[in-house]
Amino acid sequence: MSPSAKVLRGIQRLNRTRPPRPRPDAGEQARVRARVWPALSREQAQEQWNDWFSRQGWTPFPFQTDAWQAFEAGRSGLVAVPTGSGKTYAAVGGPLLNLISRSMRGLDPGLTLLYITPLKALARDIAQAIQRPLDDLGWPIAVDLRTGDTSPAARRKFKEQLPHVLVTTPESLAILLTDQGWEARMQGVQAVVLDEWHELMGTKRGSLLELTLARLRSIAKEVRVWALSATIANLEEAASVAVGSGHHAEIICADLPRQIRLHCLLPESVQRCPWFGYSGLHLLPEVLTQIDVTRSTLLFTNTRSHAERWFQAILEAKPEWSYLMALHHGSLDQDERQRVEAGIKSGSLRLVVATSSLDLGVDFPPVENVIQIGSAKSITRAIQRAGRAFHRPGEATLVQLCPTNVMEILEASALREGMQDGVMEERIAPAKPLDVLVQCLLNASFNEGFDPADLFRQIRSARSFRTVTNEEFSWALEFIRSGGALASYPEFRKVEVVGGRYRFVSAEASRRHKMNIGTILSDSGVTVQVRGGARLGLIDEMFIAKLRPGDVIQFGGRTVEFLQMRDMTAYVKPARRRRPVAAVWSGTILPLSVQLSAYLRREVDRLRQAVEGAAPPSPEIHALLPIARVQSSRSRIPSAAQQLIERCRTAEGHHLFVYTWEGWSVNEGLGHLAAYRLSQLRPNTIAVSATNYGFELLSTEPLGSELEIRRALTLLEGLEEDIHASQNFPELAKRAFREIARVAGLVYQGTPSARKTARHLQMSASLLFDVFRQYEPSHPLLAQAFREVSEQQLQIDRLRGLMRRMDEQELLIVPIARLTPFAFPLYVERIKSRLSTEQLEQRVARLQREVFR
Amino acid sequence: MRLTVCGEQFELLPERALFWPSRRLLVVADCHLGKAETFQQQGFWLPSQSRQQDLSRLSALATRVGAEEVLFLGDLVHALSGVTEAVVAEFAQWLREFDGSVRIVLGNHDAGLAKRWPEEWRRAALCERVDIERFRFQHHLGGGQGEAGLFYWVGHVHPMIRLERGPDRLRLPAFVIGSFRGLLPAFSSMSGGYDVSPPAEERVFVIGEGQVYEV
Repeated sequence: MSPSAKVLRGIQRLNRTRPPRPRPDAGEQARVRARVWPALSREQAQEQWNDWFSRQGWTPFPFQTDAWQAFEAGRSGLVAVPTGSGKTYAAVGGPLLNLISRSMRGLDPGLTLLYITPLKALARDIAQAIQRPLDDLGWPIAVDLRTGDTSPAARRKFKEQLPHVLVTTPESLAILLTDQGWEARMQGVQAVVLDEWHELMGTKRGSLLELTLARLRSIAKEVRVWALSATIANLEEAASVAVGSGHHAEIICADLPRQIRLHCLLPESVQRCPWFGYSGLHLLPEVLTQIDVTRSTLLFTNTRSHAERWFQAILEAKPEWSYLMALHHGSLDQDERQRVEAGIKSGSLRLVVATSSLDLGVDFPPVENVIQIGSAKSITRAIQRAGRAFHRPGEATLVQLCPTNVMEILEASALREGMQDGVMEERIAPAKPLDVLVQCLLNASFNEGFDPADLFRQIRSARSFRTVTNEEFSWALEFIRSGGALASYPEFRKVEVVGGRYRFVSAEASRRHKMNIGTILSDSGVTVQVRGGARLGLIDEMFIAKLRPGDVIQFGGRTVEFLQMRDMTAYVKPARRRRPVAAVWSGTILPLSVQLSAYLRREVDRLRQAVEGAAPPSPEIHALLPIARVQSSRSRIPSAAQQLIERCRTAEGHHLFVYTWEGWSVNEGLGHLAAYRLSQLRPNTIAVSATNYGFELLSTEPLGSELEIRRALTLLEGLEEDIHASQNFPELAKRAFREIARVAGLVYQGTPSARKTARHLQMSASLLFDVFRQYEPSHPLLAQAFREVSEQQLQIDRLRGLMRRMDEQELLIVPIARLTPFAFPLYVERIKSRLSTEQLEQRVARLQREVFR
Repeated sequence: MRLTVCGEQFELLPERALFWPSRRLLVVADCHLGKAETFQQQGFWLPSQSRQQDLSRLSALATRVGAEEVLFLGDLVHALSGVTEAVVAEFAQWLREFDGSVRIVLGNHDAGLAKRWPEEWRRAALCERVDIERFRFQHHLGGGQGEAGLFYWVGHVHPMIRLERGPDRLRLPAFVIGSFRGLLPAFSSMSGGYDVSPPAEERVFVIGEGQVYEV
């Protein structure tokens, strides 16, 4: 037996016993211990703390000592530092030192530090990380956690007393602020830490957290807020959103420059790379050569479904790795995810296939090898994933990218350019979403309720809500009290006004709202459970609806046979059959970021130059030359000053392919806009399909003259009216309204068991959308749905920019006789909804052979 | 859409109702009156106007087809708590204005109301089911086949059909007609529905844009 095989066997034997589960409730021990507070001055505490650092073999980084000092000086702010660089201790050091030296008087200081993490899975790790120095130093500070998974008994306990340090999620914090007497228990809070702030800020979860913190600030007068963020382009804005308007925010940047080397895995022959597709499995052999199980590897995919497929494919190719590899994605059961995270930490797992569920936090040591399947579609995201990779001082961090199709090879080249230029994306906080405002009002209506003047002041102290007007606030007040003024709600009962304070009409009403707190759209997920065995996780309702008993699916890295659906649970049993169908979750394709789009267009231009004889500036462009030549012989490759449009006629109708490289949501918007405008000129039926790179119009009648097409694509006049009139706008608004209805408490969600007893209160958001449109068309929440679609989904500003750019460009409308490499993905995108994944891959391969001939 | 069932002609109406011309009988299922009020009492937003609209839609439909009798096929109301004075008054008004006979088959949602039937609604005859020739009209026919030799017209399910044609995705209310029972769509304009996928031997008629289409 070879030495490496011996090692492998040994590891396999070790792993037959599962790694131990993390110790539960670490804070409990500290709490029961008699509280003897040491008499420490701030200096003495700092000395002990520094000693503890040296005993770990660490020297505090400058950004850590800066953060401790800034906290001591009473300031709030933001620490920008890559994941896994010691940011937790940077944030909690100041508050802990302050707490231990301030409590000499012998009084229990109560809750002092709130640590807020976006992922409940991270809470336990963070609590343990905070606990470690406290145990070693014998500081009697109690640490505990409160998340959606906390037991009812522990929740009751928190209504009496809170620990000194509480690790929690934004939603659990909002729930803590509904408990009777929370004000008294939280008035001593000195510090709030917002972990992974860049993840929260651009979302409604972040908006709600801003409002919750605004309410907390009105009670805890001395609180200092510190956000921890990955490096993003608009750090100043991120900091000021975190600390609230009217507060100064200090920014501390970790000076840990990291060079990232991006290596794109290229197939021997570019013809083996599909022109369309997302899975990347054709590169399995190349990827396998990059994995060495004596070292640790993380393989990131962009979707849960691809994680499943890659896991299965690797397992089939390398069955001997089965004990060393695991799968990690957001739909897996929590126990399984924790087991995997523990396995990564202990080193017993050597290969983990993961989605963005592993992007964040988890305080595990960096892995030696990071492979990204598919382009990350954003420069910031690519850098973040690279942050998972181990790096030796003075050496660049290596990330391997496995392109899933031809265009992603070019994207790899663009990503590298963007990284080298130090470009990063922004995170924009939503501006005063009304649904979140309504929820904040309801969240404040528990117990004695709220005084409207006070709450208005607090709300306006949150930066994203600083422009809320009197009218908007009055509307929201009236909305929760009477249902609204416009339509008739004669029986409406939710919140009442007693002695000038707004509060719930009944315990039942408040209990029902409590279950609705938060802004996360709960997946319409169905639990997957092995018959008489473990829960595996959640699966999409739409996917399971298409299954018949006996079908074999792949879920959580296992192959199981679907037995039956009962009470929102899909029962399965282990299956042996090969060729299972990988579970699919509905979700959207990641759109290209604005910044990456710009780089990608530049790469297209450089590809053109290479075809014309310039030296290929990157290995990717070199590899793409054969395909680029096909493109330029059948059509053109545009320069930066040109806009390429291809047109052709087939038995299906008239095709128009427009290439913008601007991200699919903008492409979809422009496609529908152009379709609407062209069909206004003469009656026509036009189908639109879009990808990240462009869009296709397919029509029964000719689409129009060159001038008409140009005007349809570039005319800014009447843009918003035409978008609103275009075919898919109401559909998109309906989808946006689903989230709004949920956040504002318009629909009843409840728990699965409560849902059964309250069936007569079920109302689908899409039906509600139709009802509101008919009877209360000017409803502010409807208006918000329309606004969200134009601003966030269609990104109307970005669309305007694109149209202006096209207006300045030379329009190349090229008739094509055969499908070009650029047109191919658009063509397949349209037909793919009719085919299953497996059928699609075969069809793509065949089409591609035909096209390449 | 005209359809022959067991030798009798029926009309499937785009207003989500069934008409039996030879009897001049109009059948509507699942009106769920007072649904908005039930929601409002529990603190959920649902405006009341749709009820008036449903009732006037029913009057117009009865006039259009020339109905001499209206049969409500269960779930006339959504819940007892939602049957407010306004709801009672409006349906009483409808009963006064319609000059034909009215029969109401009780559905599961009507259970609470049956014991406290409003005085103003006494003109309508209440029944568990209605048998006419070989047709039985009742609210719900569990999973069974029913009695041999009978054809059942039932409601309760609020059947919806999903259609996918290329980029078009539609979800439409439907009539589902099998060999021994016909499912009616819900008449209420504010009722959701349940997706059904009937076996191939059943005929499916969807309602879209004021027309009934067989699919």
